[in-house]
Amino acid sequence: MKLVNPLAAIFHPPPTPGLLAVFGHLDAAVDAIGRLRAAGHSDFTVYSPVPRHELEDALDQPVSPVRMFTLIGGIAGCAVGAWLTLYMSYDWPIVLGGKPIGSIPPYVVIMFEMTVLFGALSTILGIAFNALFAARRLGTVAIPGRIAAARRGRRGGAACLSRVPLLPPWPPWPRSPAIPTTSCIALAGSPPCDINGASSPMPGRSRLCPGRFP
Amino acid sequence: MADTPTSRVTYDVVTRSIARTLGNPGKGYFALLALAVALLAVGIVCLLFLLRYGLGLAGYSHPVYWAVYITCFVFWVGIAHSGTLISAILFLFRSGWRTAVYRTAEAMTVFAVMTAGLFPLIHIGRQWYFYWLIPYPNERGLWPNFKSPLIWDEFAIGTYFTVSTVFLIMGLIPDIAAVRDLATGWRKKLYAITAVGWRGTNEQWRHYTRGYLYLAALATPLVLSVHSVVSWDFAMALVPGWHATLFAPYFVAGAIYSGVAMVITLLVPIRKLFHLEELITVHHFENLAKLCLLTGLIVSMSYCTENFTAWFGGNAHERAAFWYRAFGPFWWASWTMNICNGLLPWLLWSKKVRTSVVALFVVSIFVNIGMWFERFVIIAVSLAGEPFERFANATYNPTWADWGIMAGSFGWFFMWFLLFVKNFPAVSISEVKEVLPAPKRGKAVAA
Repeated sequence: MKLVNPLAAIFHPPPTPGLLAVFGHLDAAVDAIGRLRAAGHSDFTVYSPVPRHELEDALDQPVSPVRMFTLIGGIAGCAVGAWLTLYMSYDWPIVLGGKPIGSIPPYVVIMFEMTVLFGALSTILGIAFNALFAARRLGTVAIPGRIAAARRGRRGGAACLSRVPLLPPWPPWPRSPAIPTTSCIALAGSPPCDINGASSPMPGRSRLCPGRFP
Repeated sequence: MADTPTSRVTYDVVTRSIARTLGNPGKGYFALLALAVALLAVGIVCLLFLLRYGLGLAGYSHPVYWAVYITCFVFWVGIAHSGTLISAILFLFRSGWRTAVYRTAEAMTVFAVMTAGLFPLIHIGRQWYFYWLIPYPNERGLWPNFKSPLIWDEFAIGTYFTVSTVFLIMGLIPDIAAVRDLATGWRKKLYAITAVGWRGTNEQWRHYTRGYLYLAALATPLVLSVHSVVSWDFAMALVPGWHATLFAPYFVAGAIYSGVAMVITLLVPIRKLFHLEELITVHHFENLAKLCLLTGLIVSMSYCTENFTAWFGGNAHERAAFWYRAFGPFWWASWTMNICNGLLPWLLWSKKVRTSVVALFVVSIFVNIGMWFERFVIIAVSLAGEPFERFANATYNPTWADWGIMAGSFGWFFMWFLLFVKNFPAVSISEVKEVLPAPKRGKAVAA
């Protein structure tokens, strides 16, 4: 009997039906993004092996909220550093030469280190919440074996939405052509398995690694 | 483009040649690994003796109670620093050449801090009470003394270790995802888990690149603070030879100098063993050599300043301490330091030396020796020549327990490093691609 994995829904969401267009050239992908956006689409994902400013500009996304995590973490760390040193000094006073028990200058070192520590850790949390966990909700894109079809529409993402019919994948998935809810643009490095997004995160499910890419 | 690897390199070549480092590394690798493990074994045996019989086994004699272990501590923390310089500071400066070498440097940082952190614990004598350093509520109602530089040090090193580790892991995620898509078998499983679902979507990159920028911005002041704090361990004391305001910048420059030398020492064999000549070119070595030259000159200038203030300051004790350093019983240590750190970097003015990998390798090893002796001179020799305790002015001789544990620390460091480069991408895949020209329509793909 196969046990039901309660986390499967999160970590292995059913593949989202959609359309995948693979671009060998950066400017072609940028073009396609522009046309998709002009046609009113916003529910697409762009995969790329490297972050490129051209893609960022074409997508015109808001600035990442990670910076708030860094700021709040940093301030919290500074406060923790101040509390730690001052509270502990007054709780166990070491009185030397009539000097103040809670003396700020040496404590600045601790406050600084705690600012950096908390700031860095909350930045990591920010990235994890925003990028890694949130991204899972999009589902795994795995349209097998249809790279060639997608490639035909390489001239532009918008064109490939209408021109390339959404071919049903093999049996486990619904046979009727679904309306593409997510169209994916993948800017390929070569070979295509190098597009980090194209394979699913767990082994055995990555099927987007056919042959060579131009 | 001068900053990119050789022009034949395409995205494909980058992924394949870096993924190759994860394959069978050959006999040379295992020989090095065996050597590292053997050294570590020596260190562990010495440490067990030290635990059993106490610090008497180390060559401490009054007034020299900070010696080889603290020297090793400062040495290894120093080694760590150039990794963060290359990965964070040069990232903020947008210097493209760092991409090929920064992963190695960053891994070196993490393992060097791991090594450094062991030494204060070895040095404290009753090693099993190391947790007394941590402020935790206890039945005696005691807290650490936050006015002590040693507690600052603990916080600085702890923060540095944590931040450099998360920085390394963050940088690794996209690359692990790339090798995940190529790997097979158990490795595929390992990378699938460690890539934490990275797929390179625009959303992921958006948050990731921002977050990485902030991490770099936090790591930059951190790296400067850590070695400053380490230097204050000494500068806050009144010992002549220690009590100088120069110490913080002097130590930071020295740290980066020794660290860059260590990066060269590590990269030369790694490049050879894993055939990374196309990605890590002579150009990268030349840039590292220039960094080494710059920081080496700052260090030399600090030596001059230090000696000048000792003479010009008019403090008899300070003057005596520096005379003792140069012409006392430890003259050999301080002249090793002066020659390796003060004279040797001048070789790097020559382009011939800077572009010869073999020459750089030799120079880098001597720089490392020189920097170890610099710390030894500052720490042990300053204490030995301490004018406050003339009667106790014993000769100090390090023992087998000192040398054995020091050798063990090298084994420990190299073991982790070698295991890392074998199992994770030793060169950043995504960042090397970033500095390549992107494939554009109508053009050949940068081939």
